[in-house]
Amino acid sequence: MQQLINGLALGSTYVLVGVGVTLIWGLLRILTFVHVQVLTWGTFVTLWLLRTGLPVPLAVLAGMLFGGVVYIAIDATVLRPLRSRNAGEFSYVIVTIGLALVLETVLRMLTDGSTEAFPRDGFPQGALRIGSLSLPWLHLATLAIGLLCVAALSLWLHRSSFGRSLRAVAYSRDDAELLGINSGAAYRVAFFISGMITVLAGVFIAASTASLSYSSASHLLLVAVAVIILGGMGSVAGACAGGLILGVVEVMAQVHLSSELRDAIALLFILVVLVLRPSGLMGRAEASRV
Amino acid sequence: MFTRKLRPVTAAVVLGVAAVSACSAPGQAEQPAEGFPREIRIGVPLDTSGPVGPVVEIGLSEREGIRVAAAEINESGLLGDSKIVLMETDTAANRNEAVKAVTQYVDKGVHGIVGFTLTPSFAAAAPVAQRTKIPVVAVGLSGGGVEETGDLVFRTYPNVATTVYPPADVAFAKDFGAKTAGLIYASDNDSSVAINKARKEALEKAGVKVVENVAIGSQDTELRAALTKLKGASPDVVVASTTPGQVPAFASQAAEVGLDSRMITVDGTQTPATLKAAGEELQCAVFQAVWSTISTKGNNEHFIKEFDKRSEREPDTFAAASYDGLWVLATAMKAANSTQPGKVREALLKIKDHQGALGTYDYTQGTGAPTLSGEAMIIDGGKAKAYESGQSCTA
Repeated sequence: MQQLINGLALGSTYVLVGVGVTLIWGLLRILTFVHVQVLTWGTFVTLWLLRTGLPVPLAVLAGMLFGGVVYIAIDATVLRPLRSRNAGEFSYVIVTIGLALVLETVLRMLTDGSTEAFPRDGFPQGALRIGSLSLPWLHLATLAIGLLCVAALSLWLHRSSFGRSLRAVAYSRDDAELLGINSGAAYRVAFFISGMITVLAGVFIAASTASLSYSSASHLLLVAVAVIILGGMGSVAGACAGGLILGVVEVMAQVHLSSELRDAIALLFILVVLVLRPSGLMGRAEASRV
Repeated sequence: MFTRKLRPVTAAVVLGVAAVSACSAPGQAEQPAEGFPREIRIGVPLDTSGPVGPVVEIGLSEREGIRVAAAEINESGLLGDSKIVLMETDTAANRNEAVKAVTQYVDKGVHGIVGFTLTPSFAAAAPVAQRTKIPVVAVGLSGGGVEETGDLVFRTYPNVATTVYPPADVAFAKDFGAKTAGLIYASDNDSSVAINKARKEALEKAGVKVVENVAIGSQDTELRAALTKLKGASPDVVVASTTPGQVPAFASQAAEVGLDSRMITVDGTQTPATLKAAGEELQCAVFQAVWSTISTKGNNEHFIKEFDKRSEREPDTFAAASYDGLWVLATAMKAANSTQPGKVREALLKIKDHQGALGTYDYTQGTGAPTLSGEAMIIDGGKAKAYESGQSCTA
């Protein structure tokens, strides 16, 4: 039972990562490999602000805003020109991989490549004890925030006019513009929200591990891909389910089989799910005219 | 920041060019029968750039330790009118670069090599130095397979898997009255695997039953599953052979899952960054440190003073081991009154009471490895302190 809780605790951080990326990858179908760098840069900004003595909520909020603004800047300078030329998916992949390498290298130079201590003061510490079971407060908070983000995003996407506009842009940018929707604004808002949630995920992961380095989130790129594929491309609720399931599968694989096979088993599980359900757990099957 | 990163490369190039141009007869080492040449050329192959940030930091620390030692030796007149000239090479965490560097040292006639940040680079390049009769003092390698390379190869940093951790673990376990132990190690890291194996064998030999041996990845920071498994075995002590960077996650997550066994961790736990990140959760953790700022062994206090005076970096274990490396070689040359490899080797093997930053060096066992064992430490009140046998600690 405790290992199930550990799996859900790990999954709670994956939920936030998955929710942050699902707007861009899942909904807008833009493959940006720079996502983890936005997370890392924003988390470092939060760390630097915490060191100045700024209260945790303000430092986290400032880091999130930084992540949102950086993502908008990346969209405006790198991705929008590609969109305007109707560039293929491969162009986005190549360009964002290059940008990710640049951002990672600059951060490595700025931090001298060292692993920094991430202060846990101000974040929930300790664990809720129920009998022999232990539920870390930090992960309970992460899960609560993740679920809150899922609910808020789902409501926003399905109930607000701007959310509906975003979905229309995701479906067809040209058709949406013919209907008078400002697609540029839709993209900017999506990138901003994604950047903010992504940095929030980074902050909670850094607080959980009490450390941060330029490369400490590099494994999250694979996690993000796995979560949204498992949950279903474009489904916010799917990202939530995918994150939790992936966390539990990884922990169970580590405990009952081998730590070295953990990632392989998690990916094998995703493969099996996709064979049985190609659109993911909560994704909608797509039909196309051939 | 760019200038800081470019500085090592520039300095290495400048020093290298200066050293080469200063050579009166490039291509062959000056090996007078007795006494010293005007310039004693020392090859310094270190990883001061490369893809892995922490490795670069180690390389930079090592280079600084060697520079401080060179300046001090030259000022002291230890080698008479002769001066040590460093030929620094950035081997960029690349074994091919390391081999290239040593080959160039051979061409340029160096009298000794002090360096090597990573084992793969050393393993590829040190045999070249051995074949061409250049004495080598390896400074940053903590695993096995160093002095075994050849009779001209020596080391300053002890093999932690044989002489540092296992005997300390047994002493700690005895102090705590531990009957059972749980082990955790990084299965994808050769050093961690070797250390864990040696610790396990030593504990079992001492009558401590190993009730759980859990593997993690060296990059893992989410350790709750592994720690829960350890908790299930209820060991009296938990022996962590993780990387130092994993210690904060190990300590904080152990507290979260309710693992309250006494912790025996690794060297590096005493660094300010680790202590700050781990907070109160490391209280009462013990470990064996090869070097620390509070150590009074050897001439460590002098080293720290000199390092603070001559360098902008903070002293650390790698700077200390490198500082000792050049001093050990220079001391042997002085004793031999020669730079001839055979005589330097003989003099190195006679070093018995050399006071270094890591402690008192004794190479008389003839293996090329010093008899250093480090110092027992305990975390108390957020600080690393010397640990005395039987010392109590309030968690």
